[in-house]
This record gives sequence, structure tokens and C-alpha cells, in this order.
Amino acid sequence: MRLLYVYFGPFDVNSGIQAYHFGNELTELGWEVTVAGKGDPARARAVGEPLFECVSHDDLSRTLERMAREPKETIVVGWTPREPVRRMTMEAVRRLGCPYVVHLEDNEELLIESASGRSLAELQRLPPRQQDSAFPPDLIHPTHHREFLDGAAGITVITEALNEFNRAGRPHALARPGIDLERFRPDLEPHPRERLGLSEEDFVLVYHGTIHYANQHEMLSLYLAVKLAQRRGHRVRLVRLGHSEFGGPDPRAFRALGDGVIELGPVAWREIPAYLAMADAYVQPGPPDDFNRYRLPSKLPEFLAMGRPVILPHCNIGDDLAHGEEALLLEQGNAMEIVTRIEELLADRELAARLGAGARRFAETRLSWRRNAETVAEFLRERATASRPVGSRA
Amino acid sequence: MPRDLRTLKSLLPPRVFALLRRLRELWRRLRRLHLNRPRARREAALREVEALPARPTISLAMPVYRSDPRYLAQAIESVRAQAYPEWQLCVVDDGSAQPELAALLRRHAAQDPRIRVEIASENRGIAGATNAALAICEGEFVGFLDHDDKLTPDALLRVAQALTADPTLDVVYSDSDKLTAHGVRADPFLKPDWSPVYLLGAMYIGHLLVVRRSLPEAAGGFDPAFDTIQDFEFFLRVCERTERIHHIPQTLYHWRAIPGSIAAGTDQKDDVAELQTRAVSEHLERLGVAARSVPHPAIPHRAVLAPRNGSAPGGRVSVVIASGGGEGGLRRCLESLFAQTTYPELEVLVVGRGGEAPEWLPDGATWLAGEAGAFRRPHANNLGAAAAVGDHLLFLDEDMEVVEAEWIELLLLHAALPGVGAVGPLILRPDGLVDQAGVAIGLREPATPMLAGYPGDGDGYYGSLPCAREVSAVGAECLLVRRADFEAAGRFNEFYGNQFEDYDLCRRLAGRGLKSVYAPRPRLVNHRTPAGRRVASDAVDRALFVDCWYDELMRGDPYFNPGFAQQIADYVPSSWRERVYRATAPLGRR
Repeated sequence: MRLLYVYFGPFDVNSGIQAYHFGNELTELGWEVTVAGKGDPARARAVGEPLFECVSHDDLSRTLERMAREPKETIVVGWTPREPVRRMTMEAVRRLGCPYVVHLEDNEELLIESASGRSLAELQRLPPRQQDSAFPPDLIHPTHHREFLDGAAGITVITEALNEFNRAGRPHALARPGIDLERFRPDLEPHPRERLGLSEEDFVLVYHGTIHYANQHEMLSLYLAVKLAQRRGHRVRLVRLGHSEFGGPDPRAFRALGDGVIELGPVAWREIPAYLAMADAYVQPGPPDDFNRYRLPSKLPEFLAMGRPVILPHCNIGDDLAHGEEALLLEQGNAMEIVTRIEELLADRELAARLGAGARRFAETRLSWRRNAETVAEFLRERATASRPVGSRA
Repeated sequence: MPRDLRTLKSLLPPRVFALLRRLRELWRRLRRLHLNRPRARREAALREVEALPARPTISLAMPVYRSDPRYLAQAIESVRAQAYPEWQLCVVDDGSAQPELAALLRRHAAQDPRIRVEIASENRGIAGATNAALAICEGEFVGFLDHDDKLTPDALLRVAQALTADPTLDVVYSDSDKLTAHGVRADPFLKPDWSPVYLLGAMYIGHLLVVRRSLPEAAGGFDPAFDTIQDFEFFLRVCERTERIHHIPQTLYHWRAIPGSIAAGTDQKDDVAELQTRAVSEHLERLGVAARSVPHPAIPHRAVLAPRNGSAPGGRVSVVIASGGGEGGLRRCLESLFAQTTYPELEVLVVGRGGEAPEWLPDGATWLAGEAGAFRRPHANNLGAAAAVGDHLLFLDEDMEVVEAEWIELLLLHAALPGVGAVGPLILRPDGLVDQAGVAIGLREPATPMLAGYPGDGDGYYGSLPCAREVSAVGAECLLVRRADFEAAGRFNEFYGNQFEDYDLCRRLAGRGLKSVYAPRPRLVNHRTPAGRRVASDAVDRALFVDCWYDELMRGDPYFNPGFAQQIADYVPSSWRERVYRATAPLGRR
């Protein structure tokens, strides 16, 4: 069976890495997989050796032409209902005459509201031509995304809460990511602390991820937590990897807090495990709100697999983790609560060790790529069969 | 600058990039112009009408008396030009005995069945005529339109949008401006969100006002005894019956400023001050507040609070002064406090940085040894509050000087108003300019002292300086709060070092439904030097305040209209500041 993933971003970041793993696992399960992503397909090699075909968005048209010449039972998965993905997915469906599934990994409605500064209802009231230009091009279209979801043969969701956006009640399945337990493990050789001016006495947090309009508040909480902890006499340092776009009601705040943070900027994906291995703990900041409830930051499985204490919001994957045994959960997610949790770890080394072991155990049992890919494969096969047009070849 | 633009900038020669940027700006301006064409705006408004989930009928009551036919026709035309169709215009001619006026009204009524006209044979005054117009209103909501004023074409649409977005609303009001005799728009009045304390000092609601029709009936309609300010007095009775009051921060009403009207100037109608204070005093009495309204001694149409004869708020007050160690300031503060204060039930606590009490400490003050290390104001103030026995806590900065005898009485008077949690006075600099008249949040800075640098005896913006009003926060330089509220809100947050904990407390009080209020009297003087302020500036505290109140800061200050320039809290409309900037900026930056 053939599977075409139409993925919105570059191959070697965040969701691209998930697409890579699903692609490889499904190939090993006997599927013929193609992933269409943004930019150079060779970037997938930064993650590992892909067993599937990688094509760029620019080459998708040629790929579809080829697929149309070699008819086979096919299903297309639009990775998010974002407008460029929707267009490419619908084009593929039109040319291949096959059903499609939409994969949800974020509260897309909240993303467009944050980016445009207007409510979705307001955007939907705009005349069609203004709607076309009123939203950031990489996000959903105010009205088309609903039609896209409603017309899908099925929906896969990264967390169960996202099924709330499946308003037409299409069949759905959980497509939770897994983690490469070999690549992210507790005994990795860490990047030398002294190279970053850190000592063994420092309590080091490592965070790899972009700061953008949607997570500015929670990243401010993390930066601030480090400064507050330092003000309270703790030697806490944060090492951050990734792009930064500072904004919010007080963009200068980040700069003012910057001396508590070692900013390394974007780092090659292969180097990330060594940086993560420097950490004494990891913090995923943010409240259990409408943004975090619907997403699963791709770094969380990595944090858990590294076998160190993880502090994270009490939502999405946090709902499945035992507080005090597998992680420390945040109810507010603000800087003050993060500091309080850090102080708990600093005061109780035994707790830190227990949490690290619990996190690793969780990753081993609940975040298996193979098991999760099997669930997805079964769902896609069932959807492809159930949605097969009458009289079709397969 | 967005990332794509940065990439482009790095690829292109600077001149080409600058040219492209200018072209983009030009394109945006042309697009704005295109979208702002009257026809385009009307079409957009009609689409918005179609998108409304419901269409409540809004009746407009319009009393008419010997009106200028030109202005009257314009007023009616402005209603007929509404994008929102579900309106009714109820006109009552209050015995004008002018056949041409009656003919004009009948002509309009004949042209549009939504216009109802009643020609009265005798003159009952404006309140009576408005009541007569209300009597023929049939809509679920009623609005009020004066015979020479104008609505903007989208006025009723915006009202309907607000009413349908929240069907529990009982009252909606909007911003307004004035129309000169020559039809020029001037003097925009950009109002705060619902501010019942501000209403006690300034008749700020004005137009456009739309209320649920059952409310005038329940309130007993307009009172002819208050003709001239009958709409203000009417609204005082309405707001005693509902708190579901919503402000639309858009100018939807043009108020005609012709000789003889209040709009033309504050000295136009001499009996206003007496009527205004009588209406407010009666309102306070109905609310059971032990205060009365008196005219401001210097500024027309402004009223201030005074104790009601024989009954003033009381109870023990604990003054807490956290001392960072500056002897000169503390000494001046305590000396002025004991020299000026007339309030009898007083306790004064000074929290020092460890050590013994200084020898010169006045007898009436109690010394508490605080922590000896770095001075932390929230911690010191909490220490003082824990030791205090008063019903009210009055936090006072050691750099403050008390300059008025009844300062505590006046603060208590404002604290006794319904729903008030924290009160802060007008704080002046030693040179008489304003240091702080309340604090706005979510402007360019997370927290901004209001009207800083303005003359202390001025009117501010529509009474923002001489009138008490709701604010988002008041500073701990001088802050009065009921002890029980302080405890329930969790005291000062000691995660803060030296700043913002006072604003944080005000926001937590707001979370419990308690407002912060700026009181124009008493006045206190702050002797802290500009250099001292810079030293006190703490980036971590500032970021902590942002972190705690991020969403509120993003929404902006409800008591500081978004139409004002958001750089500083001085109530300058953003369009004006933009114009000044354009006129004074170097050519290349315009």
C-alpha cells in the first residue's frame, strides 16, 4: 500500500523528525512511503537514513505524475490542516483519486488567532478575498480548513484532546510520536560543561526549541524562572538551543533576563543529545491552557528518554505521567511555580533520581515508535479500504 | 522585522531594500485607502450585519424642541443611513408649535415606516419629552439621540454586535466627539470601560447610550427636576440596577457643539454644578455610602467626595512604612505624618533593616526589626502588616511627605465606595507636578504612572486628575487596603524584589472583584529623586509582573482607552501624537 505524507515544514526539525520515524517504521511494516516536505529532501539525513522516499514540495507535482502512472491503492495524509498542506493534499487527492486523512498536532485555531491578533470568528467574517490575504500563509485558512477536516476519511491526533476539532465526527486515531531510545539515553557523553563556562556545581537546564509568537509567554516564564532562582541563591543556568523571535507585551524583558541564559542558537539535530546530556533537569514551561492542552512538544519524549527529572504542564502527555514519580507537573506553569519545582529538586536529590528513572521507564513503555506506527498503519489501512470509491481497482 | 524580511535585507543592496520597503508601504496605504472608501465600508458593514447571530431591535428616543431644521434633518438622516436595519426612531416634538418642523418630521415618517412621530401640543421639558418618546419605543433596547447630533453609519451595528456577543448585557455606551457649528469633528472623548467611581466626579457616559428597555421603566424614566443633566441623573439610577454595562471604544456619536449647549463649553449652563452634585449625593445615599458630592472648587462640571454630615468611615488604621535605611527620608515622612494627621485611631509601624530603633523615632511610631540583608520591600511590608492591628493597612513609602491634615479620612472615604479594594492618592513631585495619578498597565511599559509631569491642579483629560476614578493599579508609595482583603489576596508576593508587588496586589484584588481607585485628594509629595528611581528599576521584577499578568497586559488597560497613544499614560489620542510625530520627525523618518 502506498502512503503519501504531505508535511508542512523542513525534514530535520520537530515534526519533520516525527514524519521521519513514522516513515521508516511504516516502510518496515511493508508500506511504500513518500514524505513531501519543505526544502531540500537531503536534510532528512540529518535525522538518520530514511528508508522512504523524500521529495520537496517543489517536486511534488512530478511525484504525483509518476504515482498516477503507477496506480496502486494509496492514501494521502495531510500533516496539519494548514493552507499549503491543504492545497497540496487536495491536489494529490484529485490526481490520484484516493482518500485522505488529516493529522492534527496543534490547536491551529489558536495559532492563527495569536498570529493575526483577531479571533477566528472575525477572520471568518471577512470577505473571501480578504480572508485569503489576512492570515499568515503558513497557517490554516479561516474557512477552508474546516471543509478540509470535514471531508477527510479520518483524522489522526497527537493528543486525544485534539479530536475536539474533528467537528464532523470523522473516524479518528491517536498517532502519538515515539522516541529513539538509543539516541536519547541517560548514559550519553555530555557536551563538556566547561566549554560553555558552566561548572559541575551549576544546576543546568537545557531547552531546545524555537521562541515564536505562540510560545513567547511560556518561554519568558522559563527565562524568568532561572533569574528568580538565581536571585534566591541557587546556581541555576539555562542552556538554550534554537531560533528566537522575542515579542509579547514587553520584548525587552527577554533581553534583560538574558544573562541567566546561554544562547547557542540553532544546533544540528545530531548534536542535540550531547547537549541534552549536560542537563540536571528539563523544563517544558507553560500553563495547561488551550495552547498546551492540544499539543505534544516534540522535545518532551526526548526529555523523558534522557532519564533526568522533567518539569512539564499538567496536560497532554502530562496527563499520563505520575506526579512525583515520573515527572513534576505544573498547574500554573508560570515562573514562580517553575522555581518552586526546581527548589524541590535541589532540596531532594533522591526525588530527582526517582523522577529520572520514572521518566525513562515511561519512555520505554509508552513511547515506542514501532507500537505507535502499528496503530497508525492499522487505522490508515482501514480508512483507505472503507473510503475506497465504488468500482475502484484495489 | 520578520525573519523573511531580514533574509531579504541581507541579500539585497541597502538602497534596493529601502526602495522595496517604501513600495510595500505605498501599497499598504493604497490598499487602506481602497478599503476605506465609503462604498467599500458600507459593503463591509452589510456583510457584518449578515454575520450577526441575532438582530435585536434598537429604538432611538429623540425629543425635539424648536430645533434647527438643518441639524434635525441631519440627525434623522444619520439614523436612516445606519448599516444595521433593525432600528426604530421615536421622535416627540415637545410643543415647538412650528409647523415647518412638524412637516419635516412627518415627511420623514412617511418615507420610512421605522420612524414614529408624535407632535405634542404643550411643552413638558426635555425629561418629559424623552419619557414620551420612550413610551412609544418598542425595541428590546432603547438609545438616546439629541435632535441636533449625529450617529456614525456603523453606530447601531457596533451596538448590536456587542449585544449579541454577550446577550446578558443591559447597557452599552460608546466614545463620542463633537461637531462644531460648521460641521467639523473635534474634541474626541475616548472613555474608559465602565467606571462607576469616575461617574461620581464627571458626567462621562454621555452618548451613545443604549439600555435594555425594561431598565428605564424600572428606574422610573427621566426626572424633570434634573432637566439640563437629566440623562446623567437617569443613568445614575440605571446603574444602580445593573452592572452589565459594556463600553465600545469607538466613536459612534457626534455631539453638536452649538452656543448654549453643554458641548460648547463648561460655562454654558450655570446650574449644572448644583444639579450634578445633588444627583450624585442622592445616588450615594441610595447606595448607602457615607459620602456626599460637592463641586470641585476650581474646575467646572467636576465633583469630589466629602464626608456626609455626621457620618464618616472609621476604624483603626495601621500605617506601615518599610524603611530601606535612608534616615533623612524616613524622618521627614514621620514628622510630616505626625504633624499633619488628624485621624484619631492610628497605629504607625516602621519596619527597619534589622538593628535598633533610631533615637529620634517619634513616640507614636513602633519600630520592627526587619531582615538585615538586602532590602526587600514586599517582605518588609508583609512583616509590618503581620504585626499591625488595624482594620485598614496604609502602606507608605519613606520618601513620601504628608501635606494635608485629613489625608487618612479622605482615603477611607474612597475605600468605603462599593467594590473598592485599594486606594491611592494623587502623588506630586516636590515641584508640584504630578508624579502619579494611578497606574495604567499594558501600554508600552507593563505599568505606567498616569499623567506624570502634568500640573497637579489641572483637569487632566475630562477630569482624570480632579476626579476619583478606577485604575488598574495604585502604587505602594501610598496604598490603603482593608486588612481582610489584603490577607485574602495573599499579601504582597515576596517573589518580587522591590517593585511591582503593589501592582500585582491590585491585580489580585481585581481577581477577587475589588477595584483599585485613584483619589484626587488627598495629595502627598514624593521626594524620591530621579536617580533613586533608576536604581530601583529592576528588570526581574518587571518581567515577573509581565509573566504573572501576561494576558491582561496583552489586552491593554480597560481604563485607558486604546485610542490613546500608548507610549505614556497622558491621554493624548494616538492620531494626534502621530500627527505631531510626523510634523516634527526628520524627513527621512516620516
